[in-house]
Amino acid sequence: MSGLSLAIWGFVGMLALIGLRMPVGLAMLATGSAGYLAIAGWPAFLNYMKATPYFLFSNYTLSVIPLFILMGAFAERSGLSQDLFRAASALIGHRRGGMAMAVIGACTAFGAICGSSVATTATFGRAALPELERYRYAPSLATGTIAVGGTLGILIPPSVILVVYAISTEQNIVKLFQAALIPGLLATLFYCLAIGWSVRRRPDLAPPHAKPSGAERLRAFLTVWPVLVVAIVVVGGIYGGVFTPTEGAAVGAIAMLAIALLRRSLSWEGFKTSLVQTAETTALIFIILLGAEVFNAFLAFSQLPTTVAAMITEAGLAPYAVLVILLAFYILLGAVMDELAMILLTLPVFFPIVTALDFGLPSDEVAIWFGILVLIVVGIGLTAPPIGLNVFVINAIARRIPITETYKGVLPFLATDLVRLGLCVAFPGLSLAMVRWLS
Amino acid sequence: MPETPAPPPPSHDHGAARIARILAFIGGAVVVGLALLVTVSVVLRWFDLGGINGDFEMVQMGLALAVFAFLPLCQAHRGNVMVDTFTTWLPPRAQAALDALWDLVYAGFAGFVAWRLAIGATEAFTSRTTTMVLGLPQHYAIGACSGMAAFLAMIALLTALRRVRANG
Repeated sequence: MSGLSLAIWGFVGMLALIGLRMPVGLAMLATGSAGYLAIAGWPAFLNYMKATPYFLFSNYTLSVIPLFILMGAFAERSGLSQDLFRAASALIGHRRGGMAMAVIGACTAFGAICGSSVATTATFGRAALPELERYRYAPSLATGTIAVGGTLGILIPPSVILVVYAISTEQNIVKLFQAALIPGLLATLFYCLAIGWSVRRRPDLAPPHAKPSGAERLRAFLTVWPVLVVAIVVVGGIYGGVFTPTEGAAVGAIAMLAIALLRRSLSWEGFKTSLVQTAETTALIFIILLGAEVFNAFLAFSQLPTTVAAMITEAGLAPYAVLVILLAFYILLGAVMDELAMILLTLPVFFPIVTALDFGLPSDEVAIWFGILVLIVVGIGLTAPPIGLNVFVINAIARRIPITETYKGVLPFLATDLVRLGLCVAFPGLSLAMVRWLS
Repeated sequence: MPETPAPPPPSHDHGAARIARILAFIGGAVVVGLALLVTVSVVLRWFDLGGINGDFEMVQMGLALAVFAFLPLCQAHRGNVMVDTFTTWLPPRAQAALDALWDLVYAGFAGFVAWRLAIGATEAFTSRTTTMVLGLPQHYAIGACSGMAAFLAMIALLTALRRVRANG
């Protein structure tokens, strides 16, 4: 069998195994190993596995993943995420739909100290959902808002997805973090607009309530300023080149721990839970990284990436047509597949295609821009039916609310996601302005 | 469905799962330690005191050790990302049988990785492979990861067994 048909069977087999409940990382590892063996043989595979699992995990850039997860876990366990939400709702909660907008605002701030959408969703599912229910917000609006708010965890830098993109395409992670800022804030703005539109159309979704006094608002803000300072120092420090992302994440995690200890809001139990939570989230990311590493080694042997890239380049399609097709493919695949696995498996094929196209930009700028577009489609995949990870996470917390309600609530936000994606495709400057300005 | 639930309270863990939990906690403590190390290094550099020599290498080595320490707990709690949307029509027993089968496959791979890393550690020992700056010998770290992979294989076997028993 030729390498090419092996690779195609590899993909088919992997998807079939995933469909049959095999954990995603294991499915990639199993089919990747089988393909590797078929092409390169036992001695090469045995030799490959001797060091790969260790040296893959001892990658300095990857260390930002557990560190940012740890920082988010400390913030959550010490009640800082809840305070963020309280501060935001004291500020804008009394407006119509304001409590939902406060969720988006708090998620934006939390997104600057947390790189994971699942963690952000789970955090605010616990911190904000009871409050939204107390103010009698419609269940669909409440869970829908938290599900999309969770995507701000990755849309606002730092972001696990961008770290993985940077590593698998050998791009500068700091530039990717810079580029993500404007599109990320645009998401915040659009989500608030979507809430405003929804409650204007159906005022019963969000009953208004009294405005808190000035003193209450000030007190709410005073509890969160240390977190905001840490977020600004970490993200700003990484942007300004004061420290590497790993250093920023380390400083942020320690600062967050220090704040929690000074406030006396982190118990020993809470500390232990933070570490164990970090362990589980990190483990499930890294097992997918290992599976993708082996599967991609097999793909490289099969020459599928180069063959497909050459085919598409020679087809002579308009660059933007190719880009739109790829993004549409991502949206469809992301609806049924794990997003992290999706980008790890497709980037070896798609990245060379995109960077070879002529968009009137230098190819290193195309690489950064494409990273942001991938990030946006991943965010869509996390909330879009039928398999939106964030929706499942919030539904695991809010068991009384049917999942269809959450999907209903997510729809207006998804519409704005498509608009934002369109804007970022049409205007690469939205992503590249920060990079150009800071370099 | 794929999810990262908050870990259940400690009382849910027995025997090997308890060890997995303690191991994960130690791995987490290593990550906190690395964060502290890097922070001190950054602060020292700010005051022009030169930072800590080789913090880069310690982060690399510590990360690999921590990740291998995390894997068993994730398996014990069935935290790995999987998709169950396409198999909801199967009877629960068939679903459990599939899950048990994949646990066995996972155990096989973890055992294989443990074996290969043990060979890798031996080779690193004989060739005296050390890190660039601090000259830390690599074989200890690779060997420890091999041991933790072996423990992961055991945990996966146990979860398979538990699923079979629960549906026997």
